[in-house]
Amino acid sequence: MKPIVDNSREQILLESARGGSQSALISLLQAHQDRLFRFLMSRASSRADAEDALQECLINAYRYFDSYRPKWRFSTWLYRIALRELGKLSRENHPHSQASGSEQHAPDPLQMCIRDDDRQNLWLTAKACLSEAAFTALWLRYAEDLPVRDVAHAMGRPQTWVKVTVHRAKKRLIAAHRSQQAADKGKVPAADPDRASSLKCETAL
Amino acid sequence: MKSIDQQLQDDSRRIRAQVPPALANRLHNTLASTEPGNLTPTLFPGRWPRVAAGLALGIMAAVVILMWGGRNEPGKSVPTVAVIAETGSDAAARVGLGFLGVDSQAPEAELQVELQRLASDWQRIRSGVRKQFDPILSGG
Repeated sequence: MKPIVDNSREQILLESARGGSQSALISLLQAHQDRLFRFLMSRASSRADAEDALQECLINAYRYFDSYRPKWRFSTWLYRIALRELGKLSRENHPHSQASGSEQHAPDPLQMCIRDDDRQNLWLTAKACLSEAAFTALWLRYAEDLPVRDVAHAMGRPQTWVKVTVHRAKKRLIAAHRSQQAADKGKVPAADPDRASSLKCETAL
Repeated sequence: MKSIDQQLQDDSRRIRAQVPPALANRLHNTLASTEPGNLTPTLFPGRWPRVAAGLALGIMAAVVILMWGGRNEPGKSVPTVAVIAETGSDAAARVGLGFLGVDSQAPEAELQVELQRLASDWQRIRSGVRKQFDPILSGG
């Protein structure tokens, strides 16, 4: 995915928004909404949750724009809000961390964003074998191409934590990927998908 | 063979999501009808000027409360030093003097002298502050 808005245009829109232009702020948010939605689809437990979180995120960003500090990228600030909204939704929907029966069988929103013939996508493996925090750090670092300090700010964690988590996540992802490839080659019986998935997940953070 | 970093970046490019048009329209309408946070420059832009302004207000409020509390009228509270000075030596006075840097284990007579000195200092400070602020507080 290409950068949503090039830097110079984003700066112009930001300046106009800070000067009081509502339409500039709306344009800015609209320019980021697809990318934000993709991030939310990768993390949310359902498409409906991703849509709700997007809506709340954009409205809050619009309403509290005065709290944005230019020392961070605008997208970093949006991801920070998005993660907070996801956390809220998750607490509201699963107050005791127990998914309801219907949600357990709901299709993974991340899979909806990947073509059917691309089931080897490494991000699917990452989602299966990493913790939510590790997946988020990895996603922001590589899929969104944010520097470590921005990832740390978006997640509200120290930079050291991000570096260590991303490093460990990559190591575990490599191990899981190799296990998956071995399973695909027939070392693990293909008729036993549970075994294959346990191989993927036994390295979970 | 590609590095894991490269693989992650390549695979992320094949993940696509677009906000459904109906939701995008709804969002646009909602934003257009929402009151934005603060799009005009504020009196105190940024966090630290606001903190400084808050501190200044807090200090002013504390001074005002101290002055009103310091009025020696029936039913009004008076500052700790004045209480110590008026009640003479007891355990609380010794602790209070300890906080003020006076040796609380000193003999009774020395403590009395110290208390008298503190009381006169306090009276002088209070009358000075009153002279400055009474005209303002009384609206004159």
